[in-house]
Amino acid sequence: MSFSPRSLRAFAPSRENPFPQNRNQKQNTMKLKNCILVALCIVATSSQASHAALQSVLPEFKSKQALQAHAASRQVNKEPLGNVFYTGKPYDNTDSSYLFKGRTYNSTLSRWTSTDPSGFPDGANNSIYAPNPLTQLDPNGLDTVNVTWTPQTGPSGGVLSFTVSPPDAHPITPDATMIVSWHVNSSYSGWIVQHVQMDLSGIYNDSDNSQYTPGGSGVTSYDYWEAWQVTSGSISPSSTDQYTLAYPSSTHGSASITGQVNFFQSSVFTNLTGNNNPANWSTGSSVSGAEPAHDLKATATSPSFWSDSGYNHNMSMTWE
Amino acid sequence: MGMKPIFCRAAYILLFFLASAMADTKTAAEQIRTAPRWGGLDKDSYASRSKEIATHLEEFIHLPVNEAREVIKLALQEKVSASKLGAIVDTLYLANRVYFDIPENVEVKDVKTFGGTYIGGGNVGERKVVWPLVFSKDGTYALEGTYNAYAGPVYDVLGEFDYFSKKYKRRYK
Repeated sequence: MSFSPRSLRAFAPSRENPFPQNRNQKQNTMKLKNCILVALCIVATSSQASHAALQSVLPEFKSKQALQAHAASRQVNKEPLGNVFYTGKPYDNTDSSYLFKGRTYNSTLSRWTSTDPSGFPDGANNSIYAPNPLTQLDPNGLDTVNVTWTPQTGPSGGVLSFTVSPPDAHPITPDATMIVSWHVNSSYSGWIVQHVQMDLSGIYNDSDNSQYTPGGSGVTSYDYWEAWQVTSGSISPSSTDQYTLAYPSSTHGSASITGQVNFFQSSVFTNLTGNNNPANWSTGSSVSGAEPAHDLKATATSPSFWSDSGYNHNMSMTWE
Repeated sequence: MGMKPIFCRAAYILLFFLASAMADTKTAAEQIRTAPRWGGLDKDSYASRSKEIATHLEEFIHLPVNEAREVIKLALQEKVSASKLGAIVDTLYLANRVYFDIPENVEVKDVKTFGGTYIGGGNVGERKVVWPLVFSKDGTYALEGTYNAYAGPVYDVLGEFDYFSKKYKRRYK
């Protein structure tokens, strides 16, 4: 460190400041204390959290140092860490962009901020989100996933109605989910019955194009009926129905789930016994051929009261 | 004369603890919201994804029951798309299983389900309620399964949390 006359002037006593060194030392000590306090707070509250959150979304950073340097340079942590908005990705305030795995997306410009690292899988223009952003997803900034919904609502003003989410907003992760909510007029009791068909046969391993089945089970389809009990409009066990499709990134192909639904009043079942009365169905987890995940009443055999004239809601997903 | 500073200090300390508890729940909820999904995994990814998820649940599993419940509410509070909600409840499904010391297998007659994607395996007459997780004696845990499709009620996270909290103790403290 060199001392020039200019730098020494700061230490020279004056009437206003007779003890400049002491004052400077005091100020420096205060600054140091503040810095330590702030640093301690930051380290205590967010260091581990931020690293973990960022590591999960930016796995290409191999070391903590590289990740922290990136975070510091981009000010990702300006807001609460892992600040997730519409795309489900962390939002970078500095340049209004979302941090995807492969590149960043600027929501103001509606463009990726760089070209597609994987080339031109979506056509000549590789800075657009997806050729059709209403039906296609680009979960990592690399490949495109097509998702189609066929949402309908139940008969308006009728006994049963249902709403489907999302009806108009495209989902933003490759794990496509649709949620259906049932509504039944409060003066009615009976059963909502739904015919579920899952077609999982068109999925293949990238490595050798062999057929992929969930968990190596060999199961390529499900076909079953499930029932929600309705008592004076109150729906049990839940008034929601979730549809999710999720597949490894090492596969390609398409899959679909179709739900065909209708409401039957209690009087329909007065003289029906055995499998023809939903009250006698087993819970889904013990029904062979049914998706085994919940406590809904289910059967894999077509009941006599069923006709295929219900209301449909479908979802399908295609990915490369 | 000395009373005022003492009261002030006490108030500061109280505020500090309140603020840090709120920060803990907020951080834990954010961690859960940003956790990577365990659906649609390649088998090769189980180990690495398990570690990532464990990091995201670390804050949550050490909170007292009332704060952990708050975290779940916070995590579900934000208005998100259906897919994002699906991702959050996926993580919360694991969180409930890590937080409570649930036996690996439970007799079918004693099992109560709350929706959710995922029941796998188990001995005859039993259900492996901790699936898709497997716990080691040293307290670590890892994924042993994944799922590819689900159709059924949306998982009632809080319902299951409350049910578990009546039946089981916490796994970690």
